[in-house]
Amino acid sequence: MKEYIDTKHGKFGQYGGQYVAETLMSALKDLEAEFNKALKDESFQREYLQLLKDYVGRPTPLYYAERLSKYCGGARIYLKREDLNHTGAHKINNALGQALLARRMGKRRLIAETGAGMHGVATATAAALLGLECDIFMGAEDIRRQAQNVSRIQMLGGKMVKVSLDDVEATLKDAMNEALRNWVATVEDTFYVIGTAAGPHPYPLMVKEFQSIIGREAKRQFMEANGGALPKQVIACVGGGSNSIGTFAPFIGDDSVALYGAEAAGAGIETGRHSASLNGGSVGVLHGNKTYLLQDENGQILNTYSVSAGLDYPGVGPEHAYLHDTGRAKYVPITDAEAVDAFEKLCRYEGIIPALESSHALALAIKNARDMSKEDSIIVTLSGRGDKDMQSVLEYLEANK
Amino acid sequence: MKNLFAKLKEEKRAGLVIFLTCGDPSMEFTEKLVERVCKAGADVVELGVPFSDPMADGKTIQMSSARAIKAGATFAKVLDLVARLRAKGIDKKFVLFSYFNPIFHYGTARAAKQSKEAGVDAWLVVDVPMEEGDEIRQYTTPLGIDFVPLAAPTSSPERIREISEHGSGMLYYVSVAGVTGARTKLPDGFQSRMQAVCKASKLPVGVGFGISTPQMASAVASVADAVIVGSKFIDTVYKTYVEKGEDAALEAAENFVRPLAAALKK
Repeated sequence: MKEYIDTKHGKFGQYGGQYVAETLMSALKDLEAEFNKALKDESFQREYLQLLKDYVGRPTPLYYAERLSKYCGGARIYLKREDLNHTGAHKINNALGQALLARRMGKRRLIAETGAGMHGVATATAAALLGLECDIFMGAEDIRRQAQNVSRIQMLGGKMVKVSLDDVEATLKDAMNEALRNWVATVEDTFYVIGTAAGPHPYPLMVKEFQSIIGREAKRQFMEANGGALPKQVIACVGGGSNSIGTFAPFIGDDSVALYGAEAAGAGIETGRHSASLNGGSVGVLHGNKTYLLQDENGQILNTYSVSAGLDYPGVGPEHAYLHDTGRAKYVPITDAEAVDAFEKLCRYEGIIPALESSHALALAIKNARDMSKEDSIIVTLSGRGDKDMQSVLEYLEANK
Repeated sequence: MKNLFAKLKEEKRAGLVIFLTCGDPSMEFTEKLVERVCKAGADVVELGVPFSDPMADGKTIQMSSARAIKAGATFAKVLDLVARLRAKGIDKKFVLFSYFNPIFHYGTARAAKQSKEAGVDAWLVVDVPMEEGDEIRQYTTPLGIDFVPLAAPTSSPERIREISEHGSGMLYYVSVAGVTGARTKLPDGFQSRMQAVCKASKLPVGVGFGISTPQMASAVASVADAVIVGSKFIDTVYKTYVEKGEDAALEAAENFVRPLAAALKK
């Protein structure tokens, strides 16, 4: 695939860009300059990679899920175990990278939005590690359904900022609005740690950079285990799209590898109650970037729905929008029911409790594997662990008996 | 917009810009409100197009936008409103004030063309900085619609000059780093900061964000070409509307605007 990224303006074809209020422009320019410097700075890279190794516990294993593969009766399914990272998800890869940048820039305070709470936990963790203050913005509905992560954030010294709206349940999008509002007012001493591969330039590129460790490790591990061969497919879940873009990154140039993103179809695309912006949305501008959005006929952003709080977002990272248009990656809707089913399968066949977000990717892998030969292989990114989702899954099973 | 600022210079006063959200709580009310505000002495009305996710706005305008959307306000209906006001002979300047998505979704080219036909003088698009501005200017400039740029306390003087060269009509200077909302005093160092802004800007400078009283407006008028008031106006009008009904709200709007307009002599 030819080079398609305009790194100067953060554009992926027509997508991406910097659609923000003027007040934030100088901060974005400072951030971009510092990020570019850090990329070339060996001491920054050394510190970051050392922390990933000693503190996060990387590299995470690439695990051949033999019983699950046998159950499917097709391709061999490999799990990239991001759930084994410190804090329990891939979010820490990015939060640590951005927190190190914040310290370099002399900022004393981190803010972050969070949906499922994993990015909130990761940011609070990085803040504690580096001795920074930290405020986490979270929608009232997510605070309710992810209570355990709320406690973890507070235990780590993070301050919870509850975002509520008058007549709708506030989720990730609303948390991001409020975090942006806070940032506008505090931009002098505050660093906004965006957790997803969206937002204004340079965030999509920066998040991809810090998350691409997932794909780089997985590729190397797979090739080592398979005599230098590449997998047939690489699959990850897509909300905003940080673990998926990090997983895809080193494979985008390998034409023989099919890339699949699993979007949250919630109760089904046809019901309108979903979060699948690529499959059910149209192009628009939100949270600093141009991308696919779930919006009504007047360009108002719609409320989204998914059993998984981490995928409950009306947009998607701009690079995914580009990969979708060009067909380089395929984005497949996975319903709540399919995701919960895959969740249970992984628990029973492999003794691994996956996050509901990751369960969407697993469901797609299980579907695809069935139609493939036993010689073929799929890498699935298991983006996080499912401890946080016990309540959501129990509620779902109770309601859908 | 150019003519307006020439006239203001002659009259030795700053212009008064009133921001309101179209369709809060109904388009019919907004129509009467704009008429009343113009009659009471506003030189420019910023017609806010409501958006579901107003990231640069504080509680007042967030809630105002939500009410307007709930009541069915759309971009097309805002243009209809402008056309009706022009048909009634209202000749004050109208700035369409919007986030980008409602315009983009409508189709930027179509939105510009129909804005011109309806009688809109300028656009201000909150989340489109200079870097992305071509996407709008390519449609507005040929039609003679001004594209009002924003500058902020975080914008350097060099950047303010560049911003003002990219825009037209007026430079909207955001007086504080923060979201919209009524405040009780001007930020520290405001006067000297304004001198730098006016020196750097090639356009007349309007100042907004946080201005809530005739005293504050008067202080701003001494160093700026226009004073922009939004949140406090919306609060006042809506509160009266809920408590005492439409006529009282229009009365309150007029009583709010008159002393502001009187406070802007240079």
